[in-house]
Amino acid sequence: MSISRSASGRLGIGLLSVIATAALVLPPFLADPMAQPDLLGAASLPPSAAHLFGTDGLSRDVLARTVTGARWSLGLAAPAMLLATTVGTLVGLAAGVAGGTVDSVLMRLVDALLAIPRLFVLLLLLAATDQLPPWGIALVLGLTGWFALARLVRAEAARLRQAEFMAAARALGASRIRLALRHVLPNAAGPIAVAATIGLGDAMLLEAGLSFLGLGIQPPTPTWGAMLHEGRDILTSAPWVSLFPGLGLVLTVLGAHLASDALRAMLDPRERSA
Amino acid sequence: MPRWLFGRLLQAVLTLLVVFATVFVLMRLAPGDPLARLSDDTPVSAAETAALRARYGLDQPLPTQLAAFATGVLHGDLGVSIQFGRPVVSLVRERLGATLLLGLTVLVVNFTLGLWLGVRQALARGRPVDRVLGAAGAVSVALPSFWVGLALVWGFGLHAPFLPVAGLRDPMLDTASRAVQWVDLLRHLVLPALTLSLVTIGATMRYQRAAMLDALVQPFVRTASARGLTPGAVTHHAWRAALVPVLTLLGLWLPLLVTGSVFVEAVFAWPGLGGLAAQAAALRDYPLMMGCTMLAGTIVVLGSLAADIACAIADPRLRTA
Repeated sequence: MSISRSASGRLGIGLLSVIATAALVLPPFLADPMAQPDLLGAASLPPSAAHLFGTDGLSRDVLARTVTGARWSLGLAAPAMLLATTVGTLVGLAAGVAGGTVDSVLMRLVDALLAIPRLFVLLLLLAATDQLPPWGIALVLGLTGWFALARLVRAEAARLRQAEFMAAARALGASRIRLALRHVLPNAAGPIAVAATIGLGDAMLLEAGLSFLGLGIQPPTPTWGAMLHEGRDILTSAPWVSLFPGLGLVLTVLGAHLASDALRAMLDPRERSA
Repeated sequence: MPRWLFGRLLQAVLTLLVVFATVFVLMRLAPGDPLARLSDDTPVSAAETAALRARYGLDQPLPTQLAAFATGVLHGDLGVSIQFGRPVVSLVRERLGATLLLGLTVLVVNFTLGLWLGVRQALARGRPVDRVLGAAGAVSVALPSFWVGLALVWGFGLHAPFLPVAGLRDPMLDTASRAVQWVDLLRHLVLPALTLSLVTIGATMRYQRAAMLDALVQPFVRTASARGLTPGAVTHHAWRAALVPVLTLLGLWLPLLVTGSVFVEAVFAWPGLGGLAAQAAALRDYPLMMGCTMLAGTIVVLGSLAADIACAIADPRLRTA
C-alpha cells in the first residue's frame, strides 16, 4: 500500500511538488520581484500577456512576487516544521521512555503550553522582541509548534513500554537511549510523519497571518502574507495583488493536508477497508 | 467532592499557574523594552522614561516584578496598558462582548450545520455525498481566514454593498430605535461570522464524521438494526453514542472563540479581543498583551475542564483523576 494509491493523496503530493518545483526553478525566468519599473505608468495593471498576474501598487510583477513568495513561505515553514518535529519527538521520547517524575513534569509543562493558544504565544513573542529577521520568525514558529507532537510521541512510547519486545530489549541490557531510538521511534514514525505534514501547513498559515497583520516578515520581502498585507490597501483597485498569493497559500496548505490524510489512511488499518 | 473531580480541579489550577508563569517569563526574558518604541514617535526625555519605568515597575529586579505580578493577578489587577493608559482589565472587559458574540455565533453554526453535515457524511460513507463534502471540508481547513475575509470585503464592499464590511454598528443609527440598532448589529455580524464559519466548519465535519463512524460499528447499533428498527431509529441510537466526542469537541472549540477571531477582527475592524491582541502586539504593549494571553489561556483551561467534567458525567468510565 503506498500513498500514491489514493486519489487525494496523489493530488496532495502533486500540489506540493508543483509548487515547490515552481518556487525552486521559475524565479530566474521571471521578472525581478523587487523591481519597480514604472511607478506612474505601470502600477496596479490588471493581468495581461505582459504581466500574467498583473502588477501591484509599486508596478512590481505579481507573478514574479507570487513565485518568489512560494520560496519564502515554504523556506520559512519547512525549517520551522523540522525544528518542531525534532523537539516534539525528543521531548515525547524522553518523557515516555523515562516515565516517573520526568514524565509527569514534562507533560504538565506541555499541558500548560498547549493551553495558551499558539497564536497568542507568537504575538507575545513578537511584541517582546525587536523586529525579528526571517530566520527568527522560523525559529519562533518552530519553538511554538512541538507541544501536541510531544504528547503524541509520549503516548506512543507509554503504550510500547508494556510491549514484549521492549521487555526483551531491556532484559538484554539496552540503554534507555537505545530503547527510545531503536525501538520506540520506528513505531512512532507514522504518526510523526502525519503530524509533521499538518505542521507544515499550520506554520505556513501562521507565518502568512502574522505577516498579514504586519507583525511577521516585513514588506518589501515578498512572502505571501506580506503581499496580502500590501494588497489589502489597494483591494478595490487591484484585487489581483491579493488574489494570487492567497491562492498559493490555499493550494499549498490543501496539498499538505491531503498528503497527511493519505499518509494517515495508509497507516491506519481501520481506514484501509471500504 | 468525588476524588476524580478533586483531582481534575487540582490539575486545572496547576495548569493555570504554569500558564501565568510562562506568560510572565516569556515576556520578561525576551530582549527589547516596551518603552523603547514609545520614544520612537514622540520625544521623551531620559527622566520621563525613568519615571515611566518606575511607574510600570520595569526598574525592579525580576523576582520583585514576578511577586507584584502574582499579587496583581490574585486581586484581578493586570496592570495598566502602556498605549491606552488605562487598566488592562477594563480594556479587556470592553472588548469581550464583541468577541463572544462573534464566537458564539460561529459555534452555533458549527454545532448545528457542521455536526449535521458530518453525520450525513458518515451515513453516506464512501458515496458521492461523502466525497463532495469531504473535499469541501478539506478546502475549508486550508482556507486562511484573512484571505476569505478580504475576498468578502472585496465582493460585498464593491459589488454587492447591501452588507456592511467593517465595524460593529453604524454610528448614524445612534438615535434610532432599539430594534433598528439590533438589526444593524446583526447585519454587521454576518460577514465576520460567515468568514470564521467557512474556515472552521471543515474541522467540525471531519471530527463528527469520525465519531459517527466509530459509533456506527458499536454492538448496540448492530443489535438495534438486527431487531428491525427503522434506519432513522438506528441512526438515532448511534448519534447518541457519538455525543461524548462532541462534548470533547466543545471544549477544544473554546480557544477558537478567542484565537480564531484575531485575523477576522483585524479584517472587519470588529472591536473584539482578537483585534485588541493584534494591536497590543504591534504596539508592544506588554501588560495588555499579557492580559489578553492570560485570558485566552484561562478560557482554554476552563473549557477543557468543563468538557472533561461533562464527559465524566455522561460516561462514568471516564472518571479518572
